[in-house]
Parts: sequence; structure tokens; C-alpha cells
Amino acid sequence: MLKQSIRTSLTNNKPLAYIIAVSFLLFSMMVGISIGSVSVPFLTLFQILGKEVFHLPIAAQPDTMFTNIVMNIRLPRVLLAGLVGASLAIAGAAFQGLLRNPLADPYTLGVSSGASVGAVATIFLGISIPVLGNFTLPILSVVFSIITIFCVLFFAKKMDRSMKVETIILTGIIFSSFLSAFISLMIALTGEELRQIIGWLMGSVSMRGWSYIVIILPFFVIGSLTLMMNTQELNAMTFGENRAKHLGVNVQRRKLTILIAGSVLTGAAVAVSGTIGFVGLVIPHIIRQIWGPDHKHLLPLSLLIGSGFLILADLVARMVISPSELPIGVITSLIGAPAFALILLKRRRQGER
Amino acid sequence: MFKKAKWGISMKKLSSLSAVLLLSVGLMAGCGDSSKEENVSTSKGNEPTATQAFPVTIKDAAGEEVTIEKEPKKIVSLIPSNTEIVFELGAGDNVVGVSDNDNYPKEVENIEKIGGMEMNTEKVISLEPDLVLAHASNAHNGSEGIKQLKEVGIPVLVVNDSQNFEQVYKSIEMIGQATGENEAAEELVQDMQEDLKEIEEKAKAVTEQDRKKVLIEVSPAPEIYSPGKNTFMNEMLQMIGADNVAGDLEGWAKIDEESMIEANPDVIVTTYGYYTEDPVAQVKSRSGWEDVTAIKQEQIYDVHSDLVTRSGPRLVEGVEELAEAIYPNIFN
Amino acid sequence: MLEVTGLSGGYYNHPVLDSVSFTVNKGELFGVLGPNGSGKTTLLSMLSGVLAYEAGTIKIKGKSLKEYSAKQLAQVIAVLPQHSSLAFSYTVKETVSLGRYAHQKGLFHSWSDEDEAVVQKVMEQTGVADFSDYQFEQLSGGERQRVLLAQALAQEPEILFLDEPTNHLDLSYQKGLLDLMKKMAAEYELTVIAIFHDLNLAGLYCDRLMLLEKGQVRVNDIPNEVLKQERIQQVYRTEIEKHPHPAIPRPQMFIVPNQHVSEKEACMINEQFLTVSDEMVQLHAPIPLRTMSSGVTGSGTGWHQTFVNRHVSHTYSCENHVEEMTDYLRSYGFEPSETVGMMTAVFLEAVSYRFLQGENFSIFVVVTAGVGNAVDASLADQHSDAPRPGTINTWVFINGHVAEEAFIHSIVTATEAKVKALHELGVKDPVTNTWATGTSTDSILIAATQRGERLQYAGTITPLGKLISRGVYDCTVEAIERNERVKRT
Repeated sequence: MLKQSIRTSLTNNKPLAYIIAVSFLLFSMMVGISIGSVSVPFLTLFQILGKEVFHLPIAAQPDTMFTNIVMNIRLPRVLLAGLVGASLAIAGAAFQGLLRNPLADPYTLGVSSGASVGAVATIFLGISIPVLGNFTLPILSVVFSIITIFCVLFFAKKMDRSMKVETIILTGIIFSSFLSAFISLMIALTGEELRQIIGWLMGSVSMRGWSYIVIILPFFVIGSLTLMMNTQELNAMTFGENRAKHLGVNVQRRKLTILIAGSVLTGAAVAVSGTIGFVGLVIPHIIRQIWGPDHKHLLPLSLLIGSGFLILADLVARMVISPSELPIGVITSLIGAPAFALILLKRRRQGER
Repeated sequence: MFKKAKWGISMKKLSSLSAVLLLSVGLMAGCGDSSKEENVSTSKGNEPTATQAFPVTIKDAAGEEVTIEKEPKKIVSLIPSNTEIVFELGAGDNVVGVSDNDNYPKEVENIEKIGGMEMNTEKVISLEPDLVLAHASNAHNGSEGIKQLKEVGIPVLVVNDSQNFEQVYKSIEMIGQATGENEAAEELVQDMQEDLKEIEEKAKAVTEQDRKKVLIEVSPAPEIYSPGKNTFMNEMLQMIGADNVAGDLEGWAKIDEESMIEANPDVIVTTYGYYTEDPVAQVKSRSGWEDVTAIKQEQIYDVHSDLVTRSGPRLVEGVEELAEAIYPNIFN
Repeated sequence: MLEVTGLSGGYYNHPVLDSVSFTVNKGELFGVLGPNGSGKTTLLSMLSGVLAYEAGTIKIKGKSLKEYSAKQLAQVIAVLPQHSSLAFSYTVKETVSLGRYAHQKGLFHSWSDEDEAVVQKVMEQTGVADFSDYQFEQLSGGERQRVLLAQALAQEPEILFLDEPTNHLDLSYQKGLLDLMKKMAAEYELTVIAIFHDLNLAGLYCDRLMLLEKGQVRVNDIPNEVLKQERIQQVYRTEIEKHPHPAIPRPQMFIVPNQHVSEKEACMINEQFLTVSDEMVQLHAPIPLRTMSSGVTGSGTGWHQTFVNRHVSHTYSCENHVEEMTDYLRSYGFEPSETVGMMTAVFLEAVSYRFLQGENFSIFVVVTAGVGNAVDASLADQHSDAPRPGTINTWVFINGHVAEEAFIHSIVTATEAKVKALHELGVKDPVTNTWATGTSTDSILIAATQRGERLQYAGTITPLGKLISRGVYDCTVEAIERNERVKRT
């Protein structure tokens, strides 16, 4: 009984939730920056961060190798992982709310398949656009994902004028399968690029650098802000589209807005880091179990916790068999699947009680 | 970051991709490839060869006792290393089928292709070979196909896989036996051993201080893999007197960026230049690597992958190229 | 408030409504009725802005529906749906709070004190304030309905649409919800438009009703006009009987089940069902009979199967004689609610009964009569209020299908016969010494099998009336004479 009341008071205490989430994120960032295959002494670490990030007047001259590693390898890596985790988690939360299905994730609508086709095609066909150079891959990936979103929505509208959510899910699955077939085709025909393609598909934030952060940042900011302006509408829509309409929500407009914002977030995340699974599915689920389904808090909390989670996952990916690396998608799945099973079990037991 | 070609796309890839798509969208004509090889008269049939090496029974890498009745005149090779060895032994004229990945020597361009990782069993049978040289590295892939060939009565010899030079010599000898070129095989092995000995001798001139740390990359960023223990390149580096950054790791290892930088290699060797545009420039432009010795001193070289991974006679060339790149003062 | 003209439309290629027009005024409780497929839900969907319509106009507060934005509309109209689907588990308070969406301003929808106040108020009104922190899923169907009602009320609408609101509710919640609607319509001038399946509920609560049939308006008027037996039978294609509500002046409709053959077999009430003892005269009918009586128990109209005339001593006097009679009946194993019970000081051996045969029907009359307390009705005010023992208890069993008015005729005819009997025997009112017309405690029972011949009338010269007059006269005379004889011995 005591435990239940503690849980209830924790649940209802929203400021506490944010404190926990932000602390978790900060903790993950600190740990992510401090730990690596190269052990940087703490003092040096603070010196480097102080000098380069906060521009504090510090006399000491840390070793350039360390500075390079921290500023150009670890910091961008951690930040990228954080941004990707945040994007996938908030998009996942929004999709679960919009599609009224706790099993939805940002990849349900086929956006990630579109982004993957763009990326894999770039590797497979060796595409390089002069202006973009090294960034051909992520940019093409984003372009493909946007094309996919519009195809899915267009098709859904053709099938059903009111674009019920069930129709959109169906269209998403169709496109997803179709695009995955393309990817399989390219894998079958590939020779030397196989390792690169598989590596990309399993997801990674290594060797990306600051430039990739620049690519995802605008999408992240616009997408997240848009979603957070639609939290009440999401709440209303979980009661059904008709009910939401009766409550005063302009359902058609809001639905499209949320779909596009979420898809853009997902597409950008996949474009810069490959297909990292489970974050978009499990994180919002956990947040909802602990702190309730009110999207006003669900979205920002998912963003914060998703961010920290992926930073930690990346840490594990690069430390567990150091100096070798595992793909981050493997880690998220290995953690994610059992975590999900636990959540479901716990839910069943609660329900039976 | 990822490999790039010149503005445009790899036409070969694009055409193969579109060809496959067109085929799947269009009608699938029922008729397969029914081109049959002309029945070459076997007038050479029972001519006794000078060496009297036939019939010969060889225990191959799969443990099978393979009997070859007479000197094979129609050889199909399932893997490029086998092909290179056969040509080097002088029996290249007898090769009637090679894999899609074969590219050396030039003659193979005109020889029938019988498939890539998976061989096209029908194609092989249609060539009516009297010897098929398989390889332990993909024997399990094609075991069904190999069984089918054996059922038809074609002798299939599984050549052993090689992780080091000793094993390469063994495979050369096996192929020599199978093709009736025992002498040529012995010679080849001797030549190789001598050349390598030479290199090792020269390598003795490398002092402790001069010893260089080498990072070999066999695939481009961000999936950088490096050869560790039990790979050819590891052995080669040892021969040359250089330290392999990945030397403590097993097989093909993916090293994370920080560790590579920390290791601070003196030389970086890439082997993916044949399908990647300007690998040297790519490596040089990596952010965060500016202070690595190899970058600072511009000691970045590309060596053709085939020379250092294909377990055939050209391995010696590979060692030589590596040696030249790493210790240019000592080797030429 | 709401003005609809010529509304037509439906789904894709399936037209449902055809030129529907009506008006609803502020503060009205307006009911929409109709059989399945008549277009009620379609109409509601169109009015609430969810479904597009093809022709006609809808004006809310004088402004066309199409001119309202989603939020503006939600501030005027709220809908309580039939079903609620919910993917995630919100608390009751969260659910109700969503009703404030239409009133919230700004990009990030801040929550104001006013919002909080409204939410608390509506939760109190709908009686869900105690469930504030409960999960919506944990509630029963009726409780959920009330929460959704609170959500709708939180919109502070001027018009509330209800779609079969009492479907999943038990009796007390049905009444509670509709009472609340009525109160809000009266106190806050809330306009309520509700779809009803239950004609009786609609008839009880609504100010006006609109009956739809196949997408058209059949009638739009006050309940009593709309709920006419013939019309309802026609529109709903089923047998219905209309009756007024016993407590309030509203119509009620009752369906009449098809009767099984065995239920239609003829039944004859005669002396074989009668038992006479010193304590009581009882008749057990094989089937329940339609009765109209003035007995102690089972009085008024109803259906009864057992009839008891109980002997009490002439000193019997009881404060609560109904209760006493009820206990008495129960002690003998009778079910008081199914028994017409009467009492008399007469000795029951003096009972008189006769069976009379008519042309396609028959009657059976049973009378006990004691005239010690005879009264001349024209001089009744000369009597004191205190009753004295005596009593003429008249039972008339009719083997036929008797119309309602015939019951009343029968009573009148029987009474006329009784008065004549008294006159013939020279019974005098002891107080006024004039001819008596009856006793102070007479009771009468008319019971019919409701099977067989239809008997519309029972006036004195009608076939039924003739039998009743004859039977009651003869039995009453005989009963009085016998009673006199018994008293003398």
C-alpha cells in the first residue's frame, strides 16, 4: 500500500518528473563525454571543456590529442546521440498518441524506409553531388524521407478522403514493405559496399562530426516545437477523431501537422544515424506508464529521457568490447526488447490486480 | 565520409540495378539460359601426358578423396585466388569458367562467368568441365551446388583456405597436383619463399626506434575495419618489421575512432581505393585526426586490396608494395 | 437557437436525410425519435459539424454552421456520444479538463483558474467529483458516461447533443441524467437535443418531440400529440398500447407481446373455482384476470388471480386495516399484491352466486350482503363518518374481452341493480329512515378474462349490461334474504 501511494505522489508530482529527466540527461552527457576507449583524466577533461566550450580563461594547455578527441570526436558524438534519441522519442510519443496505438513507433509510417533507401542507394550507386560532397548521403536521405511522407499521405487521401488514422497506418505499411524490398534488392546485388550498407542500417553515431549535428539541428528544433504546440490536440484525439472534433479540434489540419512534424523528425534522425530501433517505441511507453498519458508532459519528458538513453546506449556500444565497437542499434534492441517485455508483464499484473 | 565517385553514379551498378528491376517488372520469360557450349571434340582424350601424374587422388580441404582421371582440359575456378594460381602455373589455357569477381590476369575478361558468391550450377555443368576448383572459404555456401556437380560426375576439388603463407603454399601444391603442373608448383613456391626471405632480410635493417606503427583500413569510414591476428596483412606487417595497430585483435576488427587516434599510427594504409574515390584525401580530411602522425607527415598510401587479401601468388607483390610504402628508405 | 431548413444528405452514395426542417428554442429539451435507419444519428452528426451535408442550411444562433471555426463551434455545441473509445488511460479529471480545450488560448494552452473552477463545478454537477483521480478505465459504463457528460459540460455549451444517452445506464442513472438535463435546461437555459430509442423516456422528459421516418420528418410536436398509438404503431410497425403515466400527465407506450396460442385459449370462470368457508369466500382463477375494484388490497386497476372475501367480526375496528389485511392474507399463503381482498361482517354461508350465459360470453356473479349499515346516499351527510359493519361485496367475473370503458359501465350497471334490489326488499337507512341505496362500506369487483368475445359496452341495455343487471339483482336479493335468515338463527 505504501509503495502505491509513493508511486501516486511521484506520478502526480510533475516538477519532480522534470528534475529527474533533466538530471538523467545531464548525467548521461557527463558520463558520455568522460568515458571512452581513450581515458582522459578528469582534470584534463574539465580544462578542455572549460576552455573550448565555456571560453573560460584557463592557463593550462591540455594535450592536443586529448583536445581533439574530446572536442572533435566525443562531444559531437554525444550531442548527436542526444539529438537523435530526443528526435526519435518525441516523434514516437506523438505517433503513439496520434495513431491511438501504444505499439506505434516512428517507423510505422514508412519514413525510415524512405530515408534508408536514400542512404543505401547513395552507398550502392556511389552517388556524389558536387555541392554536397560528403553530405550527399544524409541530405539525399532526408529528401527521400520527405518524398516518402508525401507519397504516404497522398495515397492515404486517395484511399479515404477523411484520412482516418487506420488508413494512414495501412498506407505506411505498404510503402514500408515496398521500400524495404528495394533495400534488400540492393543488398543482394552489392559487393564491396555490403559492410557499409549493413553498418549504416544497424545505426551508428560514430565518425559523424559536427557537420551532421548541423544537419539535424534545424529539423529537430522545428519538429519538436511544432509537436509541443499540439499536445492538447493529441490529448483530445486519443478519444477518437469525432470526439476531438466535438471538443473543438480542427482535426484534419492538426493531424497533418503532427504527421509531417513527426515524420520530418524521424527522417532527419534516420538520415544522420541510420535506423536505430526501439527508442521511439519503448521510451514514450515507459514515460507514459510512470507519468501518465498527458501529452503536455509526455512529449518533453520523452525527449529528455530518450536523449539520455541513447547517449548511454552509445556509450555501451563503444565501451563493451573496446576498442572495438558494436552498432548502436544492436544495443538499443538488446536493451529495448527485454525492457518492453518487462513493461508488458508488469502491466498485465497490474491489470489483473 | 562515405565513398564517392565522380559526379554521377556508378554506371555499372545503375545498369545492373535497372536490369534487375526491368526483369522483375516485365515478363519473366520461362526459358532460362540455354546456351550450350559446343561439344569440343575430345580428340586429345587419351593422350598420355609426359609427367604421368594421372590418374591422381587428392585429399582435399573438405576431407574428400577426389580422383582426377586425366589431365584436366576444362577447368572451372570458383574463386579468383584459384584462377590466379592456375594461370601462374601455366595452365591458364585450360580455364573455361571463372567467378564474377575474377579480374586477373587480363585473359579472364574473355572467359565465361559462372556466378559470384553463389555459383550458377547450371552454367558450370553446361561448360562440361573435367575439374572444378572450389574453395574452403565458400564451400559451405555452395555445398548443395557442389553435391549436384558431383552427382553429374564432375570432380570437385575443394582448395584449402589460407590464413598464412604456409597454407598458401599448400594450396598451390594442391592445385599443381590437380592440374598436372607439379614442377611449376614447386618452382612457384620456391620463388615466393625466396622473395619473402629477401624482404625479411632487408627488414632486419629496421631498428627499434625506426619501427613504425601501421593502421590498415580495409573499408572506408565510418565502417573502418582493420586486419588483426590470423590475417595475411598482419603476417605481412610482421615480415616487414612494422607494428600493426590492430595486432592484438582477432580477425577483422572494428576499432573505434578514439582508439585509432590514441594509437597514433605512423602510416595509414587503405585497401579500398579500387572502389572508393581518393581514399587518401578522405583520410586526410577527417576532423579530429589532425595531430595523428600519419596525417601530419602525409604517410597515407593505398594498396590494391587484391594484392594483400587474395591468397594467391601475387601476395608477394602485396608485401613488396606494403614494404615500399612503409619503409621507402629500406625497400627501393 | 437552432434552425434547420431543408437538410438533406448522407454518406457517400447513400442518401439518408431528405429535406428535414425544424427549429429548437433556447432552453428546450428536444427529443429526436425514429426507428433504426430513420436518420437520427446522421442528423446529429450533421448538426454537430462532423458530417457534411448536401443541401439545406443549419443555423446556430442565427449564424450558419459552416461559418464557425472548430473552436468557436465547440464553445457553443457539445456532444455526448453513445460510445467512447479510449486508447490510453487518462484520469477522470484529465478527461473532464479536455472539455476546456475550446476555451483555451495561446500556442501552449495554459490552464487558468477559470478553467479549474469550471471543471470542479461540472464534476460536482455530474457526481463524479469523488472519482477525480481514478483512471477512466476503472469506471463502470454509467460512471464513464457521466464523466463524458462532465467533459461536454466543461465546454460550457449552449446546446448539448445527446446520442441515446441512456443506453448503458441503469434505472437510477437514467433518471439522474435526464433529471439533470431538465434542471439545466430550466436553470441555465441549456438547450438539449437528444436522440432517444426509449419512447417512454422521451415522452416523460422532452418538451417537444420530432419523429423521423425514413429520413423525413413525420411529426414535430408536444409528446402527447406525437406519441399517438396509431402513428407509433405505423412508424415502428409494431403493436403498441398507449396509457397515461400514473403520476404525471405524460403519455407512455407499452408494447404488446404476441400471444402464444395457449395464451389465447378460452377460459370460463364459474363456481368450480369458488371455495366457501366460515372464514372466507375465495376464488382462484386459472389465469390472471383484468380487474377494476375497490377492495382493501388490490384496489384500482390491475391483474389479479386470487379473490378473497374475508369474514370479520362486527366489532372489527382497525387503525391500519390495509396492513392488517395484508398480513392476514400472507398468513394464509396469499400474495397480497396479486390478491383482491375484501372484508365483511356478513356470515359467509349467506353468500349468493350465479352463472349467467350470454350469446358468446358469460358472467359469474358472487355477492355477500349485509344491510345493517344501509345508507340513503341522498341523505348521506346525516350520517357520521364512523363506519359500521355490514357491507355488500359484489364480484362480477366476465368471461370475455372487456374494453376499458365497459369496466366502468359494468360498475354503474351493477350498482343500479344493487339499488333496485335494496328497494325491492324495503331496506331502509336506519338513521334517516328513508329508502337505502347501499351500505357505507360497499365494495365492487369487475374481473375479466380478456379472452374471447370483445365487449365494448356494458350499459344496462347492452348484452353484457343485461346479464350483469339480472345477475347482480338476483344475487343481491338472495344474499340479503339469506343473511337475514342466518342472523335470526
